[in-house]
Amino acid sequence: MSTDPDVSTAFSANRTAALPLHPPPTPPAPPHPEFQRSRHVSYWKRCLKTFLPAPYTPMDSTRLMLSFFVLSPLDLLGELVNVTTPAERANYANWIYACQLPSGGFRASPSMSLGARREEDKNGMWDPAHVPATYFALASLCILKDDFKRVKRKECLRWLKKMQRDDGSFGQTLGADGAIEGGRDMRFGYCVMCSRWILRAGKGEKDLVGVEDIDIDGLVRCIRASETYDGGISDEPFHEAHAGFTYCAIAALSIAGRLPDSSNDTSTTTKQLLTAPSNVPLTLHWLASRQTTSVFEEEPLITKPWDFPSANRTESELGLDHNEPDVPPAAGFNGRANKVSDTCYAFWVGASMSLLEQCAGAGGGGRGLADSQRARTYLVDKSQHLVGGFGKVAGDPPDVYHSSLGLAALAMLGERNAATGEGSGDGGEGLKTLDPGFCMSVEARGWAEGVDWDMEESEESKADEYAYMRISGG
Amino acid sequence: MPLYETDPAWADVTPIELDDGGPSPLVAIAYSDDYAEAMSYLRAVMAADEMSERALALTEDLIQMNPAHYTVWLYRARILTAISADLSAELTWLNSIALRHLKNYQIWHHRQTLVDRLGSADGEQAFLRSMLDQDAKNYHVWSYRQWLVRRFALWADDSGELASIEELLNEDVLNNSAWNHRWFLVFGREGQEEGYKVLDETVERELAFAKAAVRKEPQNQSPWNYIRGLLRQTKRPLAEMKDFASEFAALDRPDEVRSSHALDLLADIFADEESNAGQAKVALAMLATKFDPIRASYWQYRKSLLPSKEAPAA
Ligand SMILES: [Zn+2]
Repeated sequence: MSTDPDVSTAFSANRTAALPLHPPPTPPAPPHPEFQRSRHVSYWKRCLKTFLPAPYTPMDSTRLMLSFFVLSPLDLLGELVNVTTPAERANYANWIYACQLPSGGFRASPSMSLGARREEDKNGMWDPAHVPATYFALASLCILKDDFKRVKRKECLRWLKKMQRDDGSFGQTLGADGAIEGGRDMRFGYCVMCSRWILRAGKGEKDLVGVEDIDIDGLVRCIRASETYDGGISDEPFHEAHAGFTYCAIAALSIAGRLPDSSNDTSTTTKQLLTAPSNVPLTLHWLASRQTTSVFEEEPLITKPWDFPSANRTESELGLDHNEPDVPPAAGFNGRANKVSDTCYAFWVGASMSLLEQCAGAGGGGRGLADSQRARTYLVDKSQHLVGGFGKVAGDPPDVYHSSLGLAALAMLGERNAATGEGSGDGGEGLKTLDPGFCMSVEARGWAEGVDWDMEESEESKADEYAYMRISGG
Repeated sequence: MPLYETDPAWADVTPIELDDGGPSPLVAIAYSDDYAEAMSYLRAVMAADEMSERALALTEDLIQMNPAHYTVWLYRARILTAISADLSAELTWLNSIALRHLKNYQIWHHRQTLVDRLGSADGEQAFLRSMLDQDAKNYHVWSYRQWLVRRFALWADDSGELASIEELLNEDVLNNSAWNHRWFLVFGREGQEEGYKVLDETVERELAFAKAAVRKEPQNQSPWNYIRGLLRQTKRPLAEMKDFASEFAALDRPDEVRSSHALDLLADIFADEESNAGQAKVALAMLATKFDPIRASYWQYRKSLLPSKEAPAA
């Protein structure tokens, strides 16, 4: 897992990876800003079926993350089943399982594998299970509709427990002498909460007997300690508020059921539990402040809307559509105060707001507190690329990370919807409904709930496994 | 061109080739042959947990090609200890890597390990300044800088930290990272040093500094957030800022409004006052319609939280 809070915070690519996936052909510019569905499908198909170019080398160490960021968009587009065969999907699952470690969890990439020379006690720290990779592996298995029979559930839950420090934070890997390595930030706590949820969502309890749970109060305390004076959340106490960490914290709290519940103030059960963030109105204020009409790096970072030519509306003119011509039609999101819009924050900020609005009773009838119309225009008109995918900043070539989160953001804004039949884009169909807490489709997340952990392994899946072991020589 | 395979110094090592997990690997990367070979040798020395000069050189080779490889950094740090390497030389090498890869977590974690062991902050502030010259908002650099201040107790006014922040904010008053570091210098010391308490006069100095910054650019959210934070932290009422905020936004003179953040603060001040919800609503409506229309939904939500009728006059 990398590295750069700017590009990603949560699961970033190095900026060097933000290069064109393949030499772009030059299709004619579309007449109107539209979601170019078919171009996204071909972009993701190329990502899935051909080699990623050499500039992705810094992501060689985090290929499980990268594979989630390719599978999830194809799922959101509803195209995974169209562009792959059942046999291919089974092989993808096999590839993921090859990264599972006997003591629980998944390594971050096949390139880390010491193969037959791996010995847990002697060199396991150089080929360790990896917290984010474990979430990305489990989430990808949900997307692939795997039966989870080969997941080492009990071992994984026990290992996740070992990844927690005394201060409540989680690390990334277990290193030499059992040290918990990696930062103390919310990315790891978030990935642990997601993994834990997936492993506990299905039917069957017998694996869970005697498995000690993680300390959720500790995680909540750790999040509260990283709240900043301006209402955001950072990676460690006193660091600058950052939308990536803020998302990881709010989503982890949401999955843990530890967001304050304003609609349920009298409920003693929620009242007794430690919740965060400690000041919801302040955090909403910080999140709302992330939307900005500054979308190009050359533009001024602050805007004075009252200087726009005809900025003289009355409140009664503010209907559902307040898209007056003099206010720029596109507004993206930054990750920190006084920075330019960046595609990925349309997801990190938008999802955080939507999760927090629910507990603040501020959904506004589903409209949300962000300007979703301008957010959509930012995505389709500024950061969407002609070859499909999205760039980091308006005008940038697409990269896997921003393309995936840009699509997730559009899905969250309701680029509707294959199911409801409301057309969108040049393919005539929209995107699946997104679960903002898990950053994958509601359908894929729901798959985990249907898993039956007590059911005996089917002969068929045993046969699959056997076939795979022959191929890999395992 | 194989570098390691033909090198006699590596003749005793059997590389571990990549096993890409079956017939349909996901997200395979077309990396160079050099990288593939170096990785195969890295896996081999890691499997042997080899602590040697040649393994150290191999990690350097790999870091050049993939600085985001997280275990290679941990492995390198362990080798440095095992072979009692010269940590100052390591730091010099690391400087060049950091300047080439501005956005990399591992480099800064490694630096922290080294400087902690060296036990001296000499030259660090100057190096950080050169990093910030390239990107004054680099999150890794600011995070490391907080660690440095704590580790070497650089809290005092003559430590150079506060002066450096003044300089950075003079260059760019919008630099929120610098504002955040300033907050850390003021309030991070409490709880770190036994018996240390932030003085009232320090809070006054900070309020004055932030107010001056607002006067320089009234539409800059950073000093407004800083002012609100100072008041909340010291449990003082927002109303203290009523006159100041009114300098930049008065409800009866909409043509002279110079800051949406001042209006936002006034809305909160009015909402706190008895029987002034009406004024708060006016301020929020001004924000929604003219002064900050992209946040119209948010301002309308804030309005919906106010009491629907004016409280009866006492
Ligand atoms: Zn980004």
